[in-house]
Amino acid sequence: MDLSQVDLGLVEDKFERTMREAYNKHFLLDPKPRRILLALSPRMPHPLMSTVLQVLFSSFQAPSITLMSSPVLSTVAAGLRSALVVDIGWAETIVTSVCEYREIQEKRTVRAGKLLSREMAKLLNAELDDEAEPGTSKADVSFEEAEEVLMRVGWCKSKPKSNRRTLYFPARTSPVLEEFEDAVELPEPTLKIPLPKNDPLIELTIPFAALAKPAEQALFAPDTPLSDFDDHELPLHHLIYRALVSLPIDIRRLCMSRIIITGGVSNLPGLKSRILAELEALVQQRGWDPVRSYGSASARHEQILRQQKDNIELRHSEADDKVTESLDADNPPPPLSAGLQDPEHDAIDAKLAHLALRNGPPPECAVGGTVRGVQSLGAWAGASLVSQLRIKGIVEIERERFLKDGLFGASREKEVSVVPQRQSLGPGALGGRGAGERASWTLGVWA
Amino acid sequence: MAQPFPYTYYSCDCCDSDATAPRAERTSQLPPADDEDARTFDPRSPRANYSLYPLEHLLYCEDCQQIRCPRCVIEETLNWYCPSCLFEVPSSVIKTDGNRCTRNCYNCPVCTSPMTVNSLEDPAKPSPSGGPFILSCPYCHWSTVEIGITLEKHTGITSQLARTANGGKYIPSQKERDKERERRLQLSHRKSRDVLSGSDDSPTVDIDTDPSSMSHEDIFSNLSAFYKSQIAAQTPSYPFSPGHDINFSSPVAYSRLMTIYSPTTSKKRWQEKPAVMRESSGPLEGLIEHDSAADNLAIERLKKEGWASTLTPSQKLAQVSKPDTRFDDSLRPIPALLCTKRGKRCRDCRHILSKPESKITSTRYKIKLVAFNHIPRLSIRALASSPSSTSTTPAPTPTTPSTSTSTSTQAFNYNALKPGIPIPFLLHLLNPLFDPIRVTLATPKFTSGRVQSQVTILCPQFEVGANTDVWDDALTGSALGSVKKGGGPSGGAGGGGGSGGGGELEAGKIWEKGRNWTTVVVEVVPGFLRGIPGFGGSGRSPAATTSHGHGTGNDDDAEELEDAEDEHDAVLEIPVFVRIEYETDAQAEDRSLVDPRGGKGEKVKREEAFWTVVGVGRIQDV
Repeated sequence: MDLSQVDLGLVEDKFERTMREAYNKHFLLDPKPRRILLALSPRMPHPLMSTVLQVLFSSFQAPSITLMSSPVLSTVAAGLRSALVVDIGWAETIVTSVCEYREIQEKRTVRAGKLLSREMAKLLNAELDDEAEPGTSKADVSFEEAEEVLMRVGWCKSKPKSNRRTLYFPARTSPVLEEFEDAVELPEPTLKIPLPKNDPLIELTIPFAALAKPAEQALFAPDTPLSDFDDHELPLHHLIYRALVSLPIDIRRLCMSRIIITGGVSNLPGLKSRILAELEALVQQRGWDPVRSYGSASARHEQILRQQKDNIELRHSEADDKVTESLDADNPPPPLSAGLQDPEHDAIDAKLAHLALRNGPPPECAVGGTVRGVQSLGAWAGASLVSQLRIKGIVEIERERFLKDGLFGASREKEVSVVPQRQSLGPGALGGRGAGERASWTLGVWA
Repeated sequence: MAQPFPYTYYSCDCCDSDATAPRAERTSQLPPADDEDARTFDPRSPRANYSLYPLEHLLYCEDCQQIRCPRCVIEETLNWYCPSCLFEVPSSVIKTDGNRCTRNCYNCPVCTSPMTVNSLEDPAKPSPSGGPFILSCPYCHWSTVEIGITLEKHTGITSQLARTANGGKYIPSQKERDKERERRLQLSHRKSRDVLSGSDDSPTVDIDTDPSSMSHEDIFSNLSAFYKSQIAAQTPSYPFSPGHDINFSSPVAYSRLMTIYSPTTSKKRWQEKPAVMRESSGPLEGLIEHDSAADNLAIERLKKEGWASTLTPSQKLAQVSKPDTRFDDSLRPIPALLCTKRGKRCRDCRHILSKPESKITSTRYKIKLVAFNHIPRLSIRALASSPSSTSTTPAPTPTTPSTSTSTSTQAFNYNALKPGIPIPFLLHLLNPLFDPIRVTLATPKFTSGRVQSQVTILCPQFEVGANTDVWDDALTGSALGSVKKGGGPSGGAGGGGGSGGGGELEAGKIWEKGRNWTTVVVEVVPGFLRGIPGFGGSGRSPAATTSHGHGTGNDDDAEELEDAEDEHDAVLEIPVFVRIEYETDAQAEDRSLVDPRGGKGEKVKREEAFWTVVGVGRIQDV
């Protein structure tokens, strides 16, 4: 985040006023000062963080503030331990992979709410210009109008519709896609949008399909070849795919079936389905190969890929065949190659698996390897879950310490154990510091 | 700004004093040699907005002897009440039931006006209770019939609504839901075991755990219960059978004692590493998988019903605890937000600055230290409009300048100040203190910003009489009581002989003087809106107007860009630094109560200084 042009004093003023209104109008708390848990992005710049903490400590007299990173909290609010959190915000989309409540890596792109809103305004302006008689001045939709249209009737096609025929698809999924492409409705449904800011009131008639275009353009940009994108403006599905590819394979297995799409824009109808479908298609097309182009060897590579796919298909069809063939016992099945045969049944393995099932977590917890979306209540709900359970955060800043040294008071150590150490119950325990108090505090991920 | 011209805002310097707090990173960004005292207040700086207040909004701490603005006081809530039914809500209810009225107060989700309870009784066959009832909005005629809810009684609407979903379906209460969840969890647990053991004869109960039908609260409570059970099962502080329901937050010492005296089996468990908490595994534990059917449903609905069925952003935001409402059939009446009565304390010395009476219906205050009892009131008005009104009613008129302008026959138009022409304004100071004060005014010669206007205070130093009883003057017959126009010289005594006549603008002379007020003249030469880039301040003096004429032709292109700024630039605001000195009795506590002449105690010299911003008007575009 670029803070060089930002007047932090002004930020402080604004934040203070907002917080004051929130406290007095909505929180309606007791006079007693409260502890505060902040859900922050892990990449929050220090000056900004310092400003925020300063206001909370000095104006609102918080005794201590706990910082938690928002992707982890989103994971908590989904009931998971590991997840790929896609936070589609205003200025940028952040893809964070979380494994066992820890951030592993983070990728970001500017394709988010701001761009979407701008695209919607462009669309509305174009439509208005089309309707207006020539000679009138160019239409200029205000920000509020564009936002309102986007929030009320904006949507996103839930299936990718581009020319996927060239891609290789397994036989069983392709018919569905083609069916969708051919479905063109007649007559084209339209929508009337009143724009009250204009005088007199203009009722804009807009084809319903057009309202899905801004999302398409802003977030997926299907018309631009991949090589034209800069690093900071990758389309969402490519970004998620890259994030997954660069993960270690075990974590990827966990993360790809726990994709949490959150953030304000994610409420756009159809967007979540679309992202998941696009990702699925990308995985189908490329597999988990970090190499994108094999140059002259690409033919051979494709051949290998196809062979793999065929093998999988073969195995599927074998499985299907078995069911049918077991019915008529006259024809003995042809012998399979050793690689495709089911492994020998092992009694001890089965027993262990049985035990694990009985005592361990239910099998749903071990889901992995497939693309699956999971709903989350969002970072703030996660934060209130965490605070409800009285879980201590790693980054807990106390008022006196912060007011004394600011953020520089933090120790450099990143990991601090929050598990209370066993202490002897002898007389020494009373004299020493309490278990809850720590000698130093750390900024954890934010350090 | 919200107020009509002319207005005066007072600046509270609390954010400057904040800067002394430890902020290592900030200091590097501040200009290094920026002396706090030497800096003139800039009303155009973006931060100024946050430190300027009308005098009526400010409090005054008598111990710190400083102005206290809303951001340098600590507020504490005394009691809570519903603004609609004026019923006091105890703090325990706030903790459990939140910040909404739990009685019958509801606002319309469409237009936010308060809703009324109406009867839908069929006159043909009257029911004993007079029901069914509905909530309806008297303004936009939205009613709960539209979401399929009718009520049996006309009281206790909150509890009735909590039990009814849109469409009239019954919602089980939180307790029942919790119980139901427990039952289902056990059932599914048993089922999975049955699958393992191979016996498939478990009772097949229809479990309709449809994730899409679950509300946010359901998911949240499911998640919360899941985490609690997990922590309870995994926590090492309780080593016994995890099936037992004993509070996991029991003291560590107790459980350690128990481990010492418990049989060896449990001791072994203590040694074991606690298993890692697992993930939730289904909707009952709060795991909701993404399901594209809901998405498609919403899109289909948008296509069919269009704009009219969707909610505006404000309607959406007003919905309590339902962030994902989109269509108008999911609206719920909004319970009224509670209000509070708050006392205010000084942040530095913690003295109470204002405290309202605790009775809800009373608007009085027990303690209220407002700034206009301690700080001279500064007001400005144009000279052209003033004489008729001031001469007829000498004493308190200038406190309400807007009325005086409206009564005068030819109202001065503050919204169209002519650039380049000197306009005399009257700056009026009203002293609320019981001691005479010496005032020093200061202002930058040119206002800041792109449009530079010249400002001259003709008499920057003068005295203002004490706020004594009106009758004292009449009885003693002192010369102070009478009105003198163009009165005494700047530093001289207030009672100096009236040298000049009425409307003379003379440097170093005050314009008019009364018992506890003094008026001086400020000459303002508004700058030109169409600035000339080459000449920094175009409206510097009437002489600059000549050069202005040929300058305008050059910057036609720039004008387009600057149009938006012009609206802001056209407002002429003058920062005025006010410093007052006075001598008062040593006892600060009861200064305002005791007549100064009563207690002949020791005199203490006091001094106050603050910035004000005077909004003069809007410069006319030429």
